[in-house]
Formats: sequence, structure tokens, C-alpha cells
Amino acid sequence: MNSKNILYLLQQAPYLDNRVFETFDAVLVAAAFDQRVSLLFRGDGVLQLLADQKPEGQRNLAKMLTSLETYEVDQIFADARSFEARGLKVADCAIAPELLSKREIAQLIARQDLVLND
Amino acid sequence: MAIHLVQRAQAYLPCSRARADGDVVVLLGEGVAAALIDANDCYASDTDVVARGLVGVLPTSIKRINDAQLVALCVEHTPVVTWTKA
Amino acid sequence: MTTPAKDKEGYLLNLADWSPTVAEQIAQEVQLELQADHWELINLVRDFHQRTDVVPAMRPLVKLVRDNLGSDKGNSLHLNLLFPDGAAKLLAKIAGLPKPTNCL
Repeated sequence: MNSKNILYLLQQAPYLDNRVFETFDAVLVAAAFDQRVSLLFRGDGVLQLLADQKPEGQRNLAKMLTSLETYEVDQIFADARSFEARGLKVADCAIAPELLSKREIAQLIARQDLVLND
Repeated sequence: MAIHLVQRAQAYLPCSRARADGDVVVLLGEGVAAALIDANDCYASDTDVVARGLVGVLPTSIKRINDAQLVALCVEHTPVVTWTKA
Repeated sequence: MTTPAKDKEGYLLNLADWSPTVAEQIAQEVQLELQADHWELINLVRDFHQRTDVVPAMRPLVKLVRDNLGSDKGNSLHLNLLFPDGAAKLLAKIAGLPKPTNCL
């Protein structure tokens, strides 16, 4: 199978409905099928990264993020402005994203074969 | 005085425009995401704050309340206004 | 002993129903007798699920095993010999976990 550069733009806050989980599962499938997957968290999507999540009766996104290493997804990015606007730091996160400027985000997108929105 | 229940982060801005002095605003569910950017002088549901890992990053202007306190606020205020849309 | 509830593909409906005895029962249904090599993988995949809420598909499973138990065991040949006909799925089933995430 052709290996493509796929970027997922993750922009939704978690635990509204199943959408964030469905996107996460899609990321794992793409990675398991040998695609070169990158993730970019922006807007309220940066809240998906927070370390201290304690949802009741459903899967814990903070824990799920730590499986990405085993799926060899290591291109994890976040919009620096979305972090700044919310007073968040990389140290608040379950996995450490690389913070990108607007220009770096444009460069990241330009490198992709496919960009998917959640 | 009204109580405004904000259930989606995107609904905070229209709510804040409609808010009168003395009204109470409570962030619920996904609405607690608004606490980090737009919201000030609000309450937020403790359960929803804890579930999302926001305890350590919540601004001090946001007060966490439990379910009993939420019910009490709803009883004390009329009307109860629910916000879900941008 | 009563057998715990399973879905129509044979995965436990309730993760809390799992025990080593249940694992042996599920293995017997596919004529598999669990040895130390099997248990090593069962424990590894259960620990991974405990930490991540994710059940690994085949590729990440190979990496997980390779990272933890070395490349002698972290290869699809070894895994498929121990858990024939789809190692990731059968291992998940015997370990009492849900079907691997989007294992097609």
C-alpha cells in the first residue's frame, strides 16, 4: 500500500460526543496501515492533550494519547496561539506537542498529501 | 435575575452579550472549555472540570460548583436560560 | 462454573469478568493450551490496555512486544505461531479485551 503523509487537524474539545474518539480511532487505523500520520491540535482541540483527564464511564483520551508512540505516531503538533490564548503549557499535556507558529503550520500543511478535519 | 447555563463553548459569546448585571452564568459539559479563553465571573460544573483535566489550568475567576449547588442556583434564579448554539 | 457474557464474535462484554480461568476457557474453544509464552503476551497486552484504553492492532502489537520482550518475540511469525489466525484479535479475545481498534 502507498504510504502517504496524512495530517489530522484536531479542533474539537473532548467529551461532547463520540466524535473525538472516532477521529482518534481513525488515526490509529491510518498508522497501523503504515501511513505517515501527523496530528495538529488547535482551537479547543488543544484540550484533548491535557494530562489530568478523569472521565467517568468512558475511555480516557489522555491515556489513549500515550498509545501513539506504540503506533509510531510521533509527529504531534499544536498551535502555539491556541495554547497561549488558553494559558496552557506543554507541561500540562499527557504527551508533549511541538508548538508551531502560524507560518510553521502553513509549512506543515504544505508537506501533506492529505489533510483531514475532525 | 436569570441563570444562564452554557452547554457548548461556542455558546458563551452570545450568552455573554445577553447577560445582564447580576445574572449568573454556569459552564456545563463541553461548555467548560470556554473557561480558558472568554469566560470570566462564571461558575463551572466541578464534575465536568475534573473529567476534562482542567483543575490545574482553570482561571481563578471561575468558581467550581457541585450538582447540589447548581440545583440551588437554578432554584434561586428565574428564568433558567440554556445556551447551546454559536 | 458459569461462562461470562460475550458478543457474537466471542469478546467478553464486561472486562471485569476476565480471570486466568476464563482465558483458559476461551483458549480451549480454539484448541489452544496456554503456556508461559502465551501468558507473557496476555499480560503485556492487558497492561498496555490498562495504561492506554487502546487494544493494539497487529503492527503496533509487534512493536509493543519487540520493545518489551525483544525482537526474538516481537515479530509476526512468533505471534502468529502462538495465536494462530490473526494474533492481535485472538490475543485480545483471550486477554478479555475488546476487539483491537478498527482491526478490519
